[in-house]
Amino acid sequence: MTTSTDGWWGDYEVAANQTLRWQLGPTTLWITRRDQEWRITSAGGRDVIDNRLAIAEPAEEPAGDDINVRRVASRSGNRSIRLGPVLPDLPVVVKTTQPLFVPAMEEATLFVSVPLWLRVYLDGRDREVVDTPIARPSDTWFGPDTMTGELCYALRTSARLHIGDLPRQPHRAILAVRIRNSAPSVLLVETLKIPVPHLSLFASDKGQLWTEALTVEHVKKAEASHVKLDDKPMQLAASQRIAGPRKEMSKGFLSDAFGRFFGRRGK
Amino acid sequence: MGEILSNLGLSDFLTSDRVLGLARAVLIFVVGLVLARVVSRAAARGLRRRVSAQEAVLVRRLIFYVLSALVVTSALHQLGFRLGVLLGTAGVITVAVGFAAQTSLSNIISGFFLIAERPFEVGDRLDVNGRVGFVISIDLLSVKLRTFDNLMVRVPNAEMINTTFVNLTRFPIRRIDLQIGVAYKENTERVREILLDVAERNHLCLEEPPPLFIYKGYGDSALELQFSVWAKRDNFLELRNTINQEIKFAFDEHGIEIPFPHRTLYTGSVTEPFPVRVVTGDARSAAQSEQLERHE
Repeated sequence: MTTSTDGWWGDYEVAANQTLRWQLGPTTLWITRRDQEWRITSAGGRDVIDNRLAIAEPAEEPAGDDINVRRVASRSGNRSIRLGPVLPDLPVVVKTTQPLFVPAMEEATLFVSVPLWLRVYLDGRDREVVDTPIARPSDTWFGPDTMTGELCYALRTSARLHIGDLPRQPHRAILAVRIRNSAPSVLLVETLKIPVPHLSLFASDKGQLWTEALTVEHVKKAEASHVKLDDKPMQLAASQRIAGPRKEMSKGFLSDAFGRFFGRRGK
Repeated sequence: MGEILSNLGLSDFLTSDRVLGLARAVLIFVVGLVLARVVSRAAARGLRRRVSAQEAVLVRRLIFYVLSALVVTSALHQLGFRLGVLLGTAGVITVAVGFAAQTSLSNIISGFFLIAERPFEVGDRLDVNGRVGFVISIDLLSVKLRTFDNLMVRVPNAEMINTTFVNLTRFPIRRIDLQIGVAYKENTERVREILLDVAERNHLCLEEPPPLFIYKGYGDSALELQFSVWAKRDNFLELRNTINQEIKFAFDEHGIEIPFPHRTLYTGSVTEPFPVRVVTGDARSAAQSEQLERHE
């Protein structure tokens, strides 16, 4: 059934009138191949500390009134599907466990665990038919006041200084942010906004998902931070790029998207 | 045939200056108006990417009216009207028309102010004196709204300038204020924790700005609380529905009482206690059947 996978993503074959089931943390996905149509059913919870993982298990097609089925017409006898992870469609806001002070000319690396979205591609096509969060994060607002700012997702898990403190989950990716304080004053880091729609996903040979590393240089108070994207994840020798960014970077990206990078914790 | 025409003088008539002038005037009028429409639309289309939809409409209308005025004056000129005389009488006419069209002119001028001030745009949701609807167009004389029950409301521009209205979709996030009453016996700190937990579990409820808990006072029958949560503008209604339901479930689960209005009966300064009769199940059904018989 499975043609290739180190993790849960990859290509699968579904036989006629067969149902396969995936359990990705809190989300369960059933895909059924019927004559002339695909039936895709998903049921999700919000439990972010759910580590369950089941890959392409033969199952019964789910039934019930509360089950939401997506039917996709497909005349060809093609039986191949592809599951792919992708980063969230809005920037994410992450808090540090405690306020973190970065002295002048000092550098700190924070590790963030980012929840992923699931995409389903059918019949070898490039356009996905499903693009849904595996564990839906809460909405939040990032801005100086309630009139100017940006809608983001709030991360439940905080940014950590040690990668070992982060929960390793199959439906989350690790992102490393290097914060460099080049200003003469101390930089207080309480919340960070990370524009994940502009980042790509990489898979390590152990099946862990990463994004490319990010370097934020704080130059001067009240000035936009300088930001640099590495071309590959930090601390990872062999990695394979498995998903591109949702939004391509424009020329003004660095100054626009990171105009405000550091925020204050709400009181 | 030609003879008949010449006898009737029709051929002279058809080739006379007056008829030719009339034909030219009609031609200028028709072609000119079509051209004015085409030019104004093309200009608006060209501007659409740079300015708002509303400003593009304004530019389109201005170009159309200026070109139409030129077309009409050229057509009149072709008909032999002397424009100098026309302009002379225009002063008198303006005064007369000014009085007659006072309301319309005030609306037109208010319309320009509305477009310049830009307190709302086409597609925004407005609350104008209690009528809530989407702006479908901002016209020369009025603003047109479509209400949620699919009615068209026309508000004159002058009224829009003079009245206070609320733009519900100006900012991307909105606050929902929930008025909650709990029984006097409840621990408000525990109630606060339950409410904050409900807000945290609902993913439509924004984490920042944080939910607000306000102790409003001692009501007649309940401790009055206000719990305010923030939502994305588009999720406002959904959050209002889901969070109210979730608060009810959470209160039921934790045994928090939402009291009904209480009334203490008091019949005077030295009132005797009210007599209370304890009724058992059998006695109650017997009393009910007795009551029914009496009604019959």
